[in-house]
Amino acid sequence: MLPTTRINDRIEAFLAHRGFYLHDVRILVRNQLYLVALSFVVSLVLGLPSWALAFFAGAALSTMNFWLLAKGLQGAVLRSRGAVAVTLARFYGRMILTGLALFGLIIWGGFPVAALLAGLTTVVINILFWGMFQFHRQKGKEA
Amino acid sequence: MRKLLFTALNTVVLMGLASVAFAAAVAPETISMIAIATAFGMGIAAFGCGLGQGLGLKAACEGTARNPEASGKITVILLLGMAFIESLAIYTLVIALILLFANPLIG
Repeated sequence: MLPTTRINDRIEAFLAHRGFYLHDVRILVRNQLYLVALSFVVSLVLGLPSWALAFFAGAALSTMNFWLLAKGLQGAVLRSRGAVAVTLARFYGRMILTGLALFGLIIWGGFPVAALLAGLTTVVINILFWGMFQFHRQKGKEA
Repeated sequence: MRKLLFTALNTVVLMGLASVAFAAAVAPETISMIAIATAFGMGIAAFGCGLGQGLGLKAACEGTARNPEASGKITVILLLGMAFIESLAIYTLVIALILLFANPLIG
């Protein structure tokens, strides 16, 4: 077994333990965690320049958002009682946290906005690549 | 309670805008126009994103009710759609924050 496969399996087992019961969602969250880790390592290697830190902050923020969204949606499907209240509370809590974090990063932190936006886009890029991969895999199966 | 919440929110907004108004040597009309533009922009974005998320959720609920066995796949697609739509609202929030508090055009 390749070391990367072993790491993938461990992360997926961790995510499954945290309540991500859908395989595709686990893969998406896992890839997103890799992206955040990669951006952190790159910013460390480059000596923590402000743009790299802003990219990392954006990626971490979008990952937190995606994590909570994925977990909330899966939980809402399974939960039979109190799903509406919990989902609403989670949604507004997430939005308030995101707004405050962005406010702090842009106004108080003075981080470069372009890098922050690039970091926030990592979720979209991750989903696009995952979609392309799924499409090619399906094409390969059909051929 | 509602009145208190409304007053508190107003105070927060006014305190936030006061720093912009006092820090920059810009005409008050410009600041007013920026505030109005930001409010409209965020409102339009929230309207569009809310509409999109609502339609997506409606379709997902209908799909799950018709075919409960496909709920896993539907949840994944719903999650992707929600993430896409929400990222648009977050971009708009960033633009609104830049316009209000870190506007490069007004120094």
